Amino acid sequence: MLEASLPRLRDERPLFVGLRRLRRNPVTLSGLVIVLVVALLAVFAPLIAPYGPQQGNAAATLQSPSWSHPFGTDSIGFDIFTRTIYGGRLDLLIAFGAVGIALAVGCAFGAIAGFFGRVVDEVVMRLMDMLSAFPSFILALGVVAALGPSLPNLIFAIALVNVPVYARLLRARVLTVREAQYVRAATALGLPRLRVLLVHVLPNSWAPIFVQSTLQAGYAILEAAGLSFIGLGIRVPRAEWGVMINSGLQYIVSGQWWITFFPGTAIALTVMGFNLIGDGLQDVLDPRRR
Amino acid sequence: MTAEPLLQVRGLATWFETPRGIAKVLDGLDLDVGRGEIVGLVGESGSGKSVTAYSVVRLVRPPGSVVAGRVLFEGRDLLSLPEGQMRHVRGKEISMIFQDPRGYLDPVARVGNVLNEIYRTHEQASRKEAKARALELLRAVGLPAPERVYRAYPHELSGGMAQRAMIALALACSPKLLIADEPTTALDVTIQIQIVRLLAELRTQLDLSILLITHNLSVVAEVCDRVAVMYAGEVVENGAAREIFESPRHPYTVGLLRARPRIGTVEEKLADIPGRVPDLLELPAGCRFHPRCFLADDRCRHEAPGLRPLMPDHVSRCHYAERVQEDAA
Repeated sequence: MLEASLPRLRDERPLFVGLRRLRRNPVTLSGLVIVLVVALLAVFAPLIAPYGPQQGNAAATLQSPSWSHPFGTDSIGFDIFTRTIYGGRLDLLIAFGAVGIALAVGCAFGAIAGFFGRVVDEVVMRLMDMLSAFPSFILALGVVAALGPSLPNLIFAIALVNVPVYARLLRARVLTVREAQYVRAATALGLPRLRVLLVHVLPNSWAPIFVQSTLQAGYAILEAAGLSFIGLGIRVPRAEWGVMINSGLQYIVSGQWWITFFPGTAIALTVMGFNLIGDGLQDVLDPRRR
Repeated sequence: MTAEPLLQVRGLATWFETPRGIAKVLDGLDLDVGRGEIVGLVGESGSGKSVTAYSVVRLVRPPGSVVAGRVLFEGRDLLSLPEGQMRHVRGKEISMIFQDPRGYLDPVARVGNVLNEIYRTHEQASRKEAKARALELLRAVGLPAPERVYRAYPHELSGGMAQRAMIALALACSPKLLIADEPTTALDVTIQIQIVRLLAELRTQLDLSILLITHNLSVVAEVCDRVAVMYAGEVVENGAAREIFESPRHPYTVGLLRARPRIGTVEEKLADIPGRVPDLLELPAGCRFHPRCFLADDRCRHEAPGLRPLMPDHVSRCHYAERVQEDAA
């Protein structure tokens, strides 16, 4: 009568299986390390940086990299190393802030559209179509230009262009999951629709959202730096990678490459880090690749 | 005669719109489930058994819809109930279990959490009470280690254990009627018998009525009080299980019984019913079964038979119900 007792003791929840597989996945791991290092440098910037981020030194402008200024200094005498580390603070804040907001809003729209369907679906998705009809950078640019360049506005603008990405993705996933047998069973046992959505549909829909978020964080940094670079975001003299590149632009021709090179490298590395995480995460979270 | 049946389905019609036309998957179905009864609903794949189940709880999905009929549950017509009230019927009064128990359990939710969720949907209960109830249920369905199953994810359970867990879920709020849609089909033969016997035990313990949908006649023989045989969206024969098995009164039932392997008899090969289930978009005129019937004559080709009572509790949809047995021999 008794069937075999439960075989496995390892926690087989997708998240834990994912973490175990993460250890065997060097691509994701390296991405994770890059992003973590950038984040830690940013968080502990005051402890690590040798100078203040807006501490100019009129006696030491446009100096090439040296022991006292490892990444050199710019035209005002700001230490590039210090500002590159501090720059991570703003850029990561913008990336996480924008992605976080876009995730919350986009997923809410996507879940509602996918689960309730029909008119709701049409209205929400056409709204999303309107947003994504613009090239994302142009839309963000327009929004910041209209609202005025400030940190909150920048985050808002970048979040806005990312909302349709999440809405689409989650809607598609919800459309699949809501047809699942276990969703039918929950409905047949009288669970209210909203509970079914929250308890059964959403927890089975997250995986692609995680992947997308890491990629979007990378794009968000590019957009933030891009907008700041053209003067529509963070403004001088605050330390932000896009701003720093802009301020070094005119010196490239005269050979002071380090002013633009180091913040540029920081952007490239961080974006690459996020992308590597995203690539590997796809494998990690896909249950068929166990 | 006796008390009013718990469930009375009358003239139920469920149609599906297809690109080629309207498929009348159920077309005037009548079915009763009495209190404390286990009624077997049998028929080939595609005869409309599952659609019957979903129609009763009003969960037929587009492109299908219930277009006519009444589903009287304790005298109330479920088909005219507002959706809000219907939700309280599902799970609380009428529950369902399904064919593939592991597919019907949420892969990322612990069994215990789903149990609590369902219980607290219908009953006022604290988390602690819900948990106590959940463990009690898991024990009642014969699971060896309730505490562990409570914390388990579906993929950690074997098929039989998962079906027991599904039964616990369905019975969480003490429903009066359990609709079991092919509950044993996906299980090993040895487990099938266990599950069927469990259902029979629970029926007596919990004062439950069961509508058991299956194409497995051995399962029906094991536990059912009454049997309704479906063919192409209609009930073709309905009566006490013993009656149906001993003296079937419809050629289709005869065919089903012959196609069933028996232990202890040496037969060259199993008899089958020639032909196949008709296309619901191009139903044959007259009796729907006539193209496959060994009794069919001109009358069958033109005149559709109605359900005729032969004995107090035995009806058949055949012009020649009285002759079926002699001619089958």
